[in-house]
Amino acid sequence: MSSAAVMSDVKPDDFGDRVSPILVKELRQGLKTKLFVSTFIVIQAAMVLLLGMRLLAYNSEGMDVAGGMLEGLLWMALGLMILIVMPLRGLNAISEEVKANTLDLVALTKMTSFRIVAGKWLALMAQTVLLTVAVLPYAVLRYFFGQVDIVGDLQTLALMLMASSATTALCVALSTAAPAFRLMVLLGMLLSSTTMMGGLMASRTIMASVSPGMSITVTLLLALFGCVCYTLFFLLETTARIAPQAEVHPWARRLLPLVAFPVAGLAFALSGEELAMMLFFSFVPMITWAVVVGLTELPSTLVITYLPLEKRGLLGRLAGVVLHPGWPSAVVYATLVIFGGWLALNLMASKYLHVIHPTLLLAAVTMPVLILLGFSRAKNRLGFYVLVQFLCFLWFVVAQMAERHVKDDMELLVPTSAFLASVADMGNLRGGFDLVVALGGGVAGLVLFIVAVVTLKELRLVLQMHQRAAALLSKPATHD
Amino acid sequence: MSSVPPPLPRALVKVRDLHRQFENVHAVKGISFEIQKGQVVGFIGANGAGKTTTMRMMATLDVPNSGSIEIGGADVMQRPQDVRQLVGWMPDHYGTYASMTVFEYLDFFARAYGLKGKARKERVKEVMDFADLTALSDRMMNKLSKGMGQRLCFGRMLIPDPEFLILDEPAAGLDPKARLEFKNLVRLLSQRGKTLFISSHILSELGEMCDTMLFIDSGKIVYHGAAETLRRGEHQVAERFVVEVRVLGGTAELNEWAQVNAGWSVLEQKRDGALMALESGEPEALAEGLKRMIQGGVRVVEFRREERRLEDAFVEMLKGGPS
Repeated sequence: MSSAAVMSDVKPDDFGDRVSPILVKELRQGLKTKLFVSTFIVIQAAMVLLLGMRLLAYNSEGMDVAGGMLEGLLWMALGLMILIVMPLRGLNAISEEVKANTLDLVALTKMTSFRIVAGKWLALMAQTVLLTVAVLPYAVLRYFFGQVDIVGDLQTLALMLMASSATTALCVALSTAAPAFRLMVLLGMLLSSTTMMGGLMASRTIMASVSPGMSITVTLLLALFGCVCYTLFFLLETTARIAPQAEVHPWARRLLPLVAFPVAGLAFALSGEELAMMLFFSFVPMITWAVVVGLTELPSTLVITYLPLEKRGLLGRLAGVVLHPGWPSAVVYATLVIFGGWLALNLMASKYLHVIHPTLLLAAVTMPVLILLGFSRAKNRLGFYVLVQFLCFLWFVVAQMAERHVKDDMELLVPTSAFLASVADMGNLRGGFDLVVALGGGVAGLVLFIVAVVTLKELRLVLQMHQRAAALLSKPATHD
Repeated sequence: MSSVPPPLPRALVKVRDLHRQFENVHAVKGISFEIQKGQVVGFIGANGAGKTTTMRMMATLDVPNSGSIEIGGADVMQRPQDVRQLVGWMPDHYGTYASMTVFEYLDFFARAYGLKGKARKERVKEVMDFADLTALSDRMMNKLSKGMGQRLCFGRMLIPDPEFLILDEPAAGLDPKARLEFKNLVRLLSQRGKTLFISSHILSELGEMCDTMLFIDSGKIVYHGAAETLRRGEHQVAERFVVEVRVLGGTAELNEWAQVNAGWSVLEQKRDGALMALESGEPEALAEGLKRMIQGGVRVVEFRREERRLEDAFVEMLKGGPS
């Protein structure tokens, strides 16, 4: 039988054919798990109990106190379920596939690695939504006891689901990490209720902090944008980790912050709301990760990694200088991001931010690249990078303990330390701002000059990739 | 509207000057070979010889540093999605899912390969029938024996009806019955015109199943040719023939005959005959020897050219280096 012919001719005849195969599979498996079933039963029992207690306290003297307490318990139970228990199930999402040796098998089907990861996340979210929807009737019943803002509750619930979406995606991303690390995360999240309470309080705070001039729709839209960006970022990060080398995606990790930052900045410029500003700064960890991972990547010599860019013509080739896997393009990316961020901050803030700050920051983030060149056989390059930055931080701490006349010189000799001094300690610098520019700027300039020279040399690789990719694409793809 | 796919080229797989280097290991060092459509090829090598790396590159799961692989005219680097439609991959450790039945497993992969509705159900049924899985349809995957699991993995590989099947150590860990079932499946697929590329350590089994052998050692191909040729040692310049002769009425006459006939010697005495050597590489001399043996009064009941075990051929090959 030729399945190719059958595949194209047959129309779907069940709902499962219209959704991702991985979603169907994950739901088939997920709904059978003991954790889902037990969570469902426990949450239903808790809701019945809470409503029963509320009913017993109805019309009694302590009705308000009991009502408030039960409200707290209700939100606590919901928060535990939506923000902790269900997202934590993502910690096994990828590791289970790796353990079962099934990832390669799925990767060879018609599904891309991103669809595999997104399907897993979607299945977890579908189960979270299912549990939440099952609780809604109890929430509506509370309305009959009075003093319930049902619209506000639904908005809070929406924010919690958004936070759950990003947390679930984070857990899916963490599922590619070592088992010991996952165990630490699991214990950390279970032993402390900080995350849950933080998420819950953040949802409530956001709702409460909506300024009179700002509509709730804008608030929800901004929160939605942040959650979508972070969810997508974590899913792309997971994809980059599991994709076969023939299907690489690391450039998507760099592209997303380049979209998220300007949108958040524009939202702030248009609305002037603090929430938009908070959103802008909330993307800093995302872009930091993209920069650090990029700066520790070895340049890819596999032509297939360049093909998607080559196929997009001149624009793709220009993007290749910034997005092609490897540290040389990451240096260009970091330059673009840091000076772009500086420009944006200058546009948003009333006070001029001196150019020495982005210069010192760029020197600080790229300096470990030079050290890594001398340790080309280092296996854990990311760990090495973090170690170098940690040592630089220690240098800064030690400098604080030094005699006053050497403290400033010590601080400004190392770019990371100089950057920290420039933002945290400038008022106490003996020589003031001029010394930062002269000494810190001088060291940073030297570092950046060497980084620029080695980067330009290595960027020739991108040109070679262009030539090889062009040759590959020009080859006729015929059946001989 | 369904389109008729173009005819596949005679050489279904073309591997040219393939290199794969990991951080400190040059796993594949410039190998080249071709596989014709319909062939069953055995891929043999010690652990770490580069077998799995080569197979993973052919299956689009890894990419070479240089060189090329074309399957059905499509380059694995340039058109991996097209190649995946032609290739079925069965790794040495087949994967299973918890909380899933045999049917659900195959159904999931059918969906993942883009089959929908009735076509999906029919294809899953076909594969279950072919791999003898129908009776196991509702069994949970973690309740399957090794042999059953292997058949299920085989079935999964067949879901998209691939032209070219890559099997990495498929017979490892199977009991004799499961091994026989596996060989039957390979034979059936070969009869259907499928091209198979099988790696294994059990060389004698590969010899029975495969019509071509490919030996790899330290990332280099050391032999590519027919299993029969290898067993008979015909890939080497023949210097002598070794034959096993069985006779009636004692071995004395045979020993005497060997002493008076130039070029012949007894290598090993046996209860009803001997293992003998003829110091000539000419088949004519062998035929003449048999004729003279019978004319000389030796009552020959069996005269059989000694074949080397594939394992011995493999070891000799490794000692001799690339051919």
